Amino acid sequence: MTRVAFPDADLATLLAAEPPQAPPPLDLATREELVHHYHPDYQPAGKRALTLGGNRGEPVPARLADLLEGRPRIPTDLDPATPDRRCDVLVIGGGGAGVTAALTAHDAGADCLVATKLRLGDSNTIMAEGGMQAALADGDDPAHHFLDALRGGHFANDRTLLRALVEAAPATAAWLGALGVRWDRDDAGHLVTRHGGGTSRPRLLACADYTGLDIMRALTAELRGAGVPVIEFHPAVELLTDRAGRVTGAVLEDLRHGGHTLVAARQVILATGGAGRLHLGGAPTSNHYGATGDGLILAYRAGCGLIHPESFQFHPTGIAYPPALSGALITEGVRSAGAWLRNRHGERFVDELLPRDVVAAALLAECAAGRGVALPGGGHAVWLDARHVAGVAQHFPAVWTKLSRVGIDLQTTPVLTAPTLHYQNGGVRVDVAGQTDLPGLRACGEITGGAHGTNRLMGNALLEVVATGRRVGQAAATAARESDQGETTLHHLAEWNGSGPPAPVLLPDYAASPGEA
Amino acid sequence: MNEPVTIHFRGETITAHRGETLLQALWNSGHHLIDHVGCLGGACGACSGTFTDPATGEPRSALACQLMVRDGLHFRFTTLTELPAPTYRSDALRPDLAGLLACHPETVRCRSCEACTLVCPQQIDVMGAVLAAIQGRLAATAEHGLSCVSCGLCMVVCEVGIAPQLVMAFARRSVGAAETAADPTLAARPPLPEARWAELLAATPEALLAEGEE
Repeated sequence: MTRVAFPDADLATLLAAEPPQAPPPLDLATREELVHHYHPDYQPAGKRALTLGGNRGEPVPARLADLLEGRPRIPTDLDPATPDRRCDVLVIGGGGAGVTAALTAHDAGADCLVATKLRLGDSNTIMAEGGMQAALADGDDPAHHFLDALRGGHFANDRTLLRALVEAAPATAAWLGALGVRWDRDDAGHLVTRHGGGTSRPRLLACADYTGLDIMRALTAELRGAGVPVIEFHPAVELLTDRAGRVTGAVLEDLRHGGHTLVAARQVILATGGAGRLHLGGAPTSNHYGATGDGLILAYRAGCGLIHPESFQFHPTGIAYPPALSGALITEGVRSAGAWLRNRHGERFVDELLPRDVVAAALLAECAAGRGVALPGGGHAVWLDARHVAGVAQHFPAVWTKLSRVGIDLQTTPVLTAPTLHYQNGGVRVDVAGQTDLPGLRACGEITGGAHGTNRLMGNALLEVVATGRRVGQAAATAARESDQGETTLHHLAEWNGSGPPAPVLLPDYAASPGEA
Repeated sequence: MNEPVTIHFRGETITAHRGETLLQALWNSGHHLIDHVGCLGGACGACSGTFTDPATGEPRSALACQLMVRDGLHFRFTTLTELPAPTYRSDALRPDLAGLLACHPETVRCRSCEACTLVCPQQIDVMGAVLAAIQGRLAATAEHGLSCVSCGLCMVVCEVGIAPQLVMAFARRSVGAAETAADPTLAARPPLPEARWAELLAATPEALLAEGEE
C-alpha cells in the first residue's frame, strides 16, 4: 500500500484534541451572508456576461460562456439532409435520466434509440453515493419535502417543477424497487430513511453508499432486457432542425473512429447530465469523465433558454488530500451518520447537516480566516472526522474502499476535505413534460434547471433523474405518435455567429503535451 | 514532484510519480484516453485492468482510477464493452434458485475453481456469491454483489461460462423487487389535497419559512 505523506503536525494536533463542542448556531440571515460572501456562485471573479443567445447579458463562469458561445464542431461540408437512421424517440445520454426515459418511451410503444458518449451507464448517476429522497417516513409528506427543497434552493425554485418532483417521489421509489433496486432495510425489514443536509424529516433511501450504482445496474439491465438499441461512444455534437426551428434529430460523432452518424427522430430527449469536468473556475470535481455540458451547449446554440446558468453546487466534502483523489466525494451520508467537520484547531464550526451551499461557504470562510489546514500542494481544507461513527466501513463501503486504497482508514484517521464541483443546479429551461423552448426537443435530469432553485438538497438528484425520466419519456412517446419525421437541416446554425472554441468539448483534456511534464 | 517510478504500459516504459493513480500517470505522460475511463470514482468498471505486482510477480487486478503507481508496475486495461446483458425483464425476477436458473441456467456448472474471486478488482468473494446462489441463498448473493462494478473480469476467467456479474445482479434485483412488492410503505399513496398545493405554490417565502418553523 502506498502511504502518502500527510500534513502530520496538523493531524497530530487533531488527534490530541478533545472531542469538539457543538458548532455555533447560524440564523438564516447569517447563512445568507456566508453564502453571498464565500460561495463561488456569488463571486464576480472568473465570470463574464453571455453576449449571444437567449441568456445574453447574464454572467456565467467564463469557461462555460466560451463554450456556450462556441463554434459547431461538425465539418462545414456535412450534409444533414440524408439521415443514417430513423426512430421515434432519440435519447441522448446513457445515465439515469436517459435510460429511464428510453425505457419508459419504449414501454409506451415508441421506437427508441439511445446514443451515449461513453458506455451505457457511464454517468454521474452511477457514482452517486448518498441516496434518494422520498417522503415515506411517518410524519413526512410531499409538502415537507417541497418546503425543505424550497428553503435549500433559496426560494428560486420553479415551484411547479418542484411539486411534480416531490409528488412523484414515493412512486419513483416503488418503481425502482420493482426494477430491482434493493433499498436499505433494518433488521425488521422496514425501509431505512435518513436525514440529509436541509431535510426536516428523515427522507433518504439508500443502498449503502452505492445507491447510484444499484439504480444504474437495475436500469441498464432492464433497458437491455427490453431490447432497446444503444449506440455507445457516439456523443451528440449538433442538433438537427427543420426550417421552422423544430428539432428533428441529431448528429452523433464516433468518438473512437471519427466520422458522423445522422439520426432523424420525431422527438429528441437531451439527458446529457452535468458539466463538472469543465472544472469551472479551476475547481476540482466529483463528476464522471464525460460531464462536459454537451447537451446544455447544443440546446443553447439551437435556441433554448437556460435557467440559473450561473448556479453550480460545490459539495462540501470533496477529498482534498492526497492529490490522487482530489475532488472525489465523501458522501454527505457520512455526516448524516454523525461525522464532524473540524478546523485546524479541532473545533467544529458549522452544523454539518445544513444545506450544501451553506456548509461549503462556512468551510471556505473558516479557511479564509486562517483556521483551515494548509495543504502541501497549496490551498486549504478542513478535517472530516468519522472516527466516532460506528460501522463506517460497513455502512460506507464505497468511501471506505477508495480511501483504503490510498492508505487511509476512515475509522482511525480524519480526512482532509474541501468543496468540489458537484452538480449543475441550473440548466435548460423546461416544463413538467420536459418540453424545452424548441418544439421537438425535451430534456430531463441534471441538464435541466428550475426544480432545485440555486442549491439542490442531497438526494434530490437521483430522484430527479428517474422521476423526470419517466415523465419525459412518456410525454415524448405520446408526442411522437402525433408528429411526422421532419426535414433534417442545420438551419439553426445559419443565425449562429458563435466565435468561441469548437463545442462541445466531449472530454476533458488531461493528456500532458510533450515536454509539459 | 514526488519520487519518480517506472511503469510499463502497452510496450512503453513510462516515468510516473509516486502518489499518482495509474490513470493520472498515463495522462501526465501524454496519453489521451477514451475507452478506458468512466466515473473516476470506482463505481463503473470502465478502467478495470490487470497488473503484475512488482513485489511478488503475481498477476492482480485493479481499477486504474484507484490504483496507485509503484516502481516496476506492468499494467494492461481489460475494459470490456458489449458485455452480455440480461435478455429478460423485471417480471422474471424470482428470488429463488428456480427463478435464477430460468434466466441463468449455466450457474449450476460452477466447479469452485475460485478464479473469479481471485480476479475481482473489487475484492468481492465472487465464488462465494455464485455458490450461495446455487444453494438458493439469493439474499447472500445480493450482499456480495453490492459493490460489483460489472467489469466482467470474472466472466472472462470462468471456464464453465458463468457470467457472475449477471448472477449477482439477478440476485440483488430479485431480492429487491420481492422486498418492494411485500412492503406496504411503497404502496400507492393518496395525493395531497389540491387546496394544499394551491397554498404552497402561492405562498410568500416569509410565510413558508414560518411554516417550516412549526
